[in-house]
Amino acid sequence: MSAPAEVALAAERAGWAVAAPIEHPLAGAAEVRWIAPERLPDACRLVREAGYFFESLTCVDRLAAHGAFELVYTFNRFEGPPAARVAWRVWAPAGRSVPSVSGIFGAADWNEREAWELFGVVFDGHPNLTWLLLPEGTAWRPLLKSFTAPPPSEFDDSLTAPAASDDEPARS
Amino acid sequence: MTPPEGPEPGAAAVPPAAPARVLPGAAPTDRALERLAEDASPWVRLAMVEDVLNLARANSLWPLTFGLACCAIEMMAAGASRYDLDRFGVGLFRPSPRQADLMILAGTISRKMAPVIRTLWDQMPGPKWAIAMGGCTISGGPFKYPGEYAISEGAEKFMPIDVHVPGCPPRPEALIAGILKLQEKIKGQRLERAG
Repeated sequence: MSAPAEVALAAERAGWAVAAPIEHPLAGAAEVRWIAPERLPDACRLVREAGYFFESLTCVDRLAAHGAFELVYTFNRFEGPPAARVAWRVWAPAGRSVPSVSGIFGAADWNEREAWELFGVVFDGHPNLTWLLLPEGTAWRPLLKSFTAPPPSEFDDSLTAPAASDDEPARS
Repeated sequence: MTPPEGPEPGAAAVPPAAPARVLPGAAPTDRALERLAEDASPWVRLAMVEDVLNLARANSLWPLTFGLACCAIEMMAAGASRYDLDRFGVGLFRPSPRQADLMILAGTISRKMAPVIRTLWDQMPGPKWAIAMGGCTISGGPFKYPGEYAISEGAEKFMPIDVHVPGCPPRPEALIAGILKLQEKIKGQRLERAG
């Protein structure tokens, strides 16, 4: 069991933390570090061995200003002190994949699927990167800021249309 | 047991002529027999059997244990002790579509869920009925807006619905009213509908 500060210090000493690409503070976490994408599994293994569990993965579309996605992995633990949340922020430039951490934290599986289907972020090594919330075969990424929904005529709610193919859409 | 034909538009004042019941070349005894069958038709057309069957069906509806979203909370409240759907014979929620004859669609239907619901409906043996509970299952409800991409706009687009219960969500009383309406409908049914 290590305090958040110790975990963050260990990540820094190992050289996994990088300089912040953007200045935008993250509230609600005791320790926040930017982690290089290729070092993310190492950093996640570190927090797991320190007794933390995976809390959530959020994705932010910063394509318009920076041409990249910001991924925020938050970890927590049940033991005190109260402010025990650790957050790893990862800068994922558009078109570049991020290593999956679902092998380290099983709970990250669905979070990564969600980020893939709603934003198009590709996670390398994910066992089942497919649609979670949207119908199979959905070709668009609805949480991108550039997204505009197809017109209602695009949808056939009568279920008479041929079943959607299992082919994955073009990954962006 | 053919349904009575409606009057011709424009000829409503004139009572329709009785259809010719006599076959050409029929013997007088056949004509007498036919007239007898016509006279006896109110008693031999299985009206009593129908009534008893429909009474049994209406008062022992077995709903599918099946909640889609927040309306399901109200449906559960309707099934619990305060509102007590068992008073109307509707309280036996079945966990399998093979054992259920009433589908209460309670909640938002996402486009991912719609084919699943359709499959469940197809798996239910007839005679079967469906209640659309709440705005979402009627028309998409609060999710029907320009730019919406994930919610199916009403259950009636892909399956038949017998009773619509509006509300967001409807109170348990409203669901009970819908069930009573459905029971009225079932009691008025003829045997052909069973299937």
